[in-house]
Amino acid sequence: MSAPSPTPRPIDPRGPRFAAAITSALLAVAVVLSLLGIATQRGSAGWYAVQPGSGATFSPDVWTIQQVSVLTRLLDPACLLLIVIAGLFLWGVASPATAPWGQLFRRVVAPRLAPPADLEDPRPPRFAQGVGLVVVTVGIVLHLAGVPWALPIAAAAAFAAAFLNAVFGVCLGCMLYLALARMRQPRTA
Amino acid sequence: MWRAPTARGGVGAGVQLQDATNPGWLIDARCVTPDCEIARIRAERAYRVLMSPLLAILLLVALVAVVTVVGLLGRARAAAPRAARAEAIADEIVPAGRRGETATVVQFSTRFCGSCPGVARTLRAIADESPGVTHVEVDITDRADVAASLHILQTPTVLLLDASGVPVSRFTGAAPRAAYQAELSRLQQRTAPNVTPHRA
Repeated sequence: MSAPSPTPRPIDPRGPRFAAAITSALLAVAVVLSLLGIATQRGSAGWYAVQPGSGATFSPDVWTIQQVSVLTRLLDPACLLLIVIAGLFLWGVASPATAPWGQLFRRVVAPRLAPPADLEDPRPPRFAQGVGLVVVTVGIVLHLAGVPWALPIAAAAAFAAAFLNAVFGVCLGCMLYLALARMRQPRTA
Repeated sequence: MWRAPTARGGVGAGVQLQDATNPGWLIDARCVTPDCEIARIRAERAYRVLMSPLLAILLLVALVAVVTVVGLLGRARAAAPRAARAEAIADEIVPAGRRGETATVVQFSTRFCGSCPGVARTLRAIADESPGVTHVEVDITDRADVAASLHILQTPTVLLLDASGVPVSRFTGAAPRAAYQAELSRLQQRTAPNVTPHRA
């Protein structure tokens, strides 16, 4: 068995929860925008029909996202917001010490709170940021490929995880980290 | 696909067409060639079926409600003890010398578990206040065999052992102090009904 890597300095567990609270607010906005954007639209970009008698309208039964260019899909406001959120997740994975919400917590919020009762290992929350990055990135890629409803579903999944973390202190990514760490252990006799 | 009853007027003329696949519907269009070719019809306006903002907000509210319920259910599940499998815990996991005369509170933790130190503090305090009760914390970070043999999937997992070292109840996840206290009292009442349980 290889020697374990040195344990990184433990952190205030309220920091990741604060970051999760901000992230869930951003993701909530992304959910609403993606529902109102091109990801859920039906109808072609070409024509529609009007029935003169009743005034009813008819639109071809197709997904609009598949009728438009990749650039149009990219420029959907929800897609742009999710790209920003993915960037924030990436920052949190690559360099948690410099990530914005962590910095905000350490400089502005933490000094106003009582010192933490316990500290926690920073590796599971960092892994959880990676999980968020994967979920949001898969949504963006599927969206650019023309899959309808990819953005709202990915945003909703990421929102659920961030909200559970912020409000209930339940870190799903951390649980996944633990499960993976357990599977990687060599089975002792 | 589209049938034009009579198309007249040259390029730019407005035309109403019938859609053969959707009878009863007329399509607003303009002619793009002098002959008003049906195949080259270009519609005036693009029309898309949009979700209403109200529905989008309602869906978000529903999402928040569902996630909140899931969180509350998870919290309730952690606070509720279950009957534990009555197989005695091996001495190599909890040494006989560390067991309590009345009961033993065994907490299984890992290095990465954020809520474990808090639960350990709570259980240590409860054990200190209850005579004959000890708190033992077992680190299973590198002991997958122990986790597998006791079916531990989540940390902290707390087992309440009776005087003979047999598990009686099990908490999965961090529970509030009152829950641990109540279960310990229940165990003490069971084994010594004439003794007033210690109230914290």
